[in-house]
Amino acid sequence: MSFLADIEPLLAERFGAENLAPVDYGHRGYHLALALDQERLRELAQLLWEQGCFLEYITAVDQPGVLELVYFFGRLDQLFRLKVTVVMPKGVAVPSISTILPAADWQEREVFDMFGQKFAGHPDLRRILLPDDSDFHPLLKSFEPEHKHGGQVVNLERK
Amino acid sequence: MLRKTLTEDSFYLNMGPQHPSTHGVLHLLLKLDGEHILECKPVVGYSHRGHEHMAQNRTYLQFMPNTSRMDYLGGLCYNHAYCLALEKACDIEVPLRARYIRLLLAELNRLSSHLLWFGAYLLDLGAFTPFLYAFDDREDILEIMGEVTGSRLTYSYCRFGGVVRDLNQNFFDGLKIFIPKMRSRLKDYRTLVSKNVIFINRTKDIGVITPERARAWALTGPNLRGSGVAYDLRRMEPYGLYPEFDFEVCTADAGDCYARYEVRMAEMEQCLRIIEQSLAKLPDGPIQAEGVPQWIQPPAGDYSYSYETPRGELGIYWVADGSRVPQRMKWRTPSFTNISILSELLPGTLVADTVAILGSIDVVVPEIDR
Amino acid sequence: MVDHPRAQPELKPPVQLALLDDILGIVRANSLWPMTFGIACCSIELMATGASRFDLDRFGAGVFRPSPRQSDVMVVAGTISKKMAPTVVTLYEQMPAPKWVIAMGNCAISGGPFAYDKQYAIVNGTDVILPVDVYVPG
Repeated sequence: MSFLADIEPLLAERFGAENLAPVDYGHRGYHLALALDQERLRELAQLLWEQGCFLEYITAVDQPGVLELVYFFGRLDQLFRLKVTVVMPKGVAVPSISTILPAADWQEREVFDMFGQKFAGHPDLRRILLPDDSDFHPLLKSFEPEHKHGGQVVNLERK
Repeated sequence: MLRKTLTEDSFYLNMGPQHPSTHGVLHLLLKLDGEHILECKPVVGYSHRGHEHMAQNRTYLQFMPNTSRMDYLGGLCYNHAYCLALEKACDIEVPLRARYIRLLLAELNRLSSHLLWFGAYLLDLGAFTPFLYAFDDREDILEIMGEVTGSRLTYSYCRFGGVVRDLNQNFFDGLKIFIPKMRSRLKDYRTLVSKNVIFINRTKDIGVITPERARAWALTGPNLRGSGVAYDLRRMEPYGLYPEFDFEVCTADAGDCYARYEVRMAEMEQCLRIIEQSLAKLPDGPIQAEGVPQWIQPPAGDYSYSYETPRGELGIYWVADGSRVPQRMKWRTPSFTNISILSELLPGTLVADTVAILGSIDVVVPEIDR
Repeated sequence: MVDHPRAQPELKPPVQLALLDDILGIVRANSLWPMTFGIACCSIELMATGASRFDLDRFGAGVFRPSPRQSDVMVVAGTISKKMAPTVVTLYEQMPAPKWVIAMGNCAISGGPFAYDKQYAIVNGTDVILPVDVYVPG
């Protein structure tokens, strides 16, 4: 993995070697894990874009007390996968990387829709999968549906 | 919904969520100036069924039927991906015969998915005949697969550690008749469609995606390969038994709708090659690994897995907490990222080209919405 | 038709008498025009029914009309999500009478595999929002 050999020292130098860890690909499916502060997200996105990577997806995991944002980057010419984790307290916005990587546009909207995580600087942060006037974020562990077997209750007002 | 503003001479047109292009419930909000598109906003979510929420409330095996309902055209590919992912995490050794069977059926599924895309795309562009021929071929495949899996469309055939049922004689007989018939049909399709002047005029130089924009929007699958980038996970990140098979990664350089069409047609041929090779190499043996518990519990931690489905790169990311139920499971479906490029691709084109471009991207809407 | 009170059994076929309504009923039954309205997985099977192997056109129902204003029957194929429900009802209201609704597949009948106690996104069957005439399980 020649790109892995190139990028590891570069990331270690820019973002701190203590935040970077190699991962057993044969078991876990990705090569490197980087823990990042949210202020440096845009800097990382710009660096990886210039290095020839692409954004595979953005997601989030609801951990007790915090929300762990997970970004996966890969390459198109060789096998490489980098996981970037940003741990945030709930309710705090992170910078959006959609102006650097347009693929992040819809991914961030989905994380906002499902978890309520706001992305500062996103051109159009609104719900993507649920109806626009929904007032819940379903993938949070604290979410309880309003009605049990809620499929019997439908709001038919046109928006 | 027709709205004219006083300052501009443009109006908004709702394309969908119910429209005759049978791609499902996709809604494109188009801002038009006559026939020219000024802006395009895809609205999705009309098929959102909460798969990821269900994953958090189901054991790993209970979630298996959901996998094929996400992308119903590549249902067995999703089954296969899910099993491979869990088996990698839990270190389950799958018997060789089962691995060959899964690969064989996954390629048959890929072929049937491309056939349906072919039929539906030509139907959108106004040609009714290829639709009927493609569906006839597809019915053959569905019968063959139904012999073994028991379903036509939404399969739950793979299990962690192997497959449920072994192949039977009807399956082999059916395939023996089908493969040469499909080869001659592919030749017919090339003559009927690929050289058709109307089809060429509607798809050449329409919807051009450069490799750089494809990387920016994270396009994968035949859409990316139609722009000249040879990114196929079956070669790039070899999973299953693909390293032992002789097949080509099909690319085309133009980046337009015709290029994406050519890539998929070439891929159909490659599917047939892989199917023939796997039939020749199929070993005897058990079809299920021993000792796999009914409720598997992967070690705690997070895992990522990628698979090449007919539409592009499927990514599964899940966080296990050591129990029978995943803490979080994310499905990175290719159509979700593939369709987002429309907001950049459509402005500047004509309304009539929308259908050609949308069809060439090959979306399955429940895969977008999960 | 032959059992009708005003039928005249001494007339031999092909001559028969019947009420206009009966004739219209037979005509409608043999040329139901469905609306192309596939929502999810079952829509592919709906397409397959209209395609070459199973050929819905044998029954006169092969002309799938994209516009609700030209169709007789709405085949609801697939799970209806709460975001989609107002659209489904609008389409039903746009269809001219007489109209029928066929709920195809378990999802359209009762929510199918997606109905469970914590579900937040789907409607448990078409009959929550529309009057359904025929239920086709599967």
